[in-house]
Amino acid sequence: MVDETNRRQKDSAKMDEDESDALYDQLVTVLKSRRDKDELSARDDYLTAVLAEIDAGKAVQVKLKVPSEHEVFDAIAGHRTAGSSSADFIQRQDFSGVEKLEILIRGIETSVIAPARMAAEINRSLEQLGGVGFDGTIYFGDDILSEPTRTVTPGDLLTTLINAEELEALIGEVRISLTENQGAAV
Amino acid sequence: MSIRPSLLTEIDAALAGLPKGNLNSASAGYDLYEAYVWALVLRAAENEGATIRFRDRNGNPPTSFWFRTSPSNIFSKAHNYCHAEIDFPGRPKLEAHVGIFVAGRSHIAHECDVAVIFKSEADICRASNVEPRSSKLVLAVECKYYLNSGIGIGLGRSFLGLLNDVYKGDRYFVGTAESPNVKTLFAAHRKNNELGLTPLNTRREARLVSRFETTFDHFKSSRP
Repeated sequence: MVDETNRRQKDSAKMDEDESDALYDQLVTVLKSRRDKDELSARDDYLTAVLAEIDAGKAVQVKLKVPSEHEVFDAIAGHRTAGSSSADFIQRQDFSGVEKLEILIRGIETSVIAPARMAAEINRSLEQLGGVGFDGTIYFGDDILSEPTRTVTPGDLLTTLINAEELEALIGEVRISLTENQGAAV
Repeated sequence: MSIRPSLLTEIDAALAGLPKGNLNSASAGYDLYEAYVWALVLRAAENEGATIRFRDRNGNPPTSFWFRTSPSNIFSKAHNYCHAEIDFPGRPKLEAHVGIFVAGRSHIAHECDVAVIFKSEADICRASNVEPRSSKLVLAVECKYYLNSGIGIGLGRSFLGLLNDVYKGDRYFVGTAESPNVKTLFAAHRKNNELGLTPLNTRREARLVSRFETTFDHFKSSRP
């Protein structure tokens, strides 16, 4: 009886395809709205790149039956093709709801959370290995512009890391639901 | 399983709460990725016993640090670009740079996203306005920050082609996105790579640092 109860509880924790499809749609709506409010464009608009990948679908190897192009001549039947054979093709298929969510989450992690963590690693190197005298400011620039294209101060980094960690925890909740779903599918 | 009702609202609020633009936008990733890999190279050098010092283009310890976001000459004076000096006892000093050009066998300049070169070579190049020779590279890394699985086979082929001009040795290809085709291509040609590398994947990060450590270990053991 206890086992049965546990099984039912576990089953109820699994996210099925319909649920993951619905969650994907809801999350995309939230992210599109946030992108528009924050006026993200060009290189900052990660959502367009991620959605383009999802729309393109996945490449799957499939075997298809193809007619032979080799013709044989039969004295009675005349010209005819010599049967058919199977061949490998690459087919474009839609991603499943779970796969779409996976790609979307990876996009958020790479574009929104990872940069703060990259900056933390750079800052750690500079502060720990650089010794005294380093004020913690990091400039990014190129040979064209005289001003830095990006400036990272210790204050920026700390604030962003705290906020990014909060987002990472929330995204982690979605990922846990997916993991349970994938475990159920095995 | 449905997620808890407030989760999406909380995700939206967390996105809204992030400071705008500077460190939590895709463009930040593009700018920071090479410097992040450079920091991993330094971590590996430190693990292998090197003393690290930071220097600006005039050889002074910098109070703030300038990184390149686009490749330029090692002798560029556009900004006070900085680099790391890597010192293994009893071995020639090295320098680690982000985004410099190096001259290949053909004398054509190639972009090196992360380059570890001999300091003696770097000094000559800064003094004489010339590109470092690729034969003086101890380690080089090609870095690709992609939001989707956009690391196509073409980039892999380009990297293999590039290696023909910048000599053999420890050249790495790293990227944020997975790419089974590129992975297969590099496996067939036995080329160092780490795809799917971001700070969120600590296992891959540790594996790459370990490979960099092997490069430095070989450098320490090689004949002076």
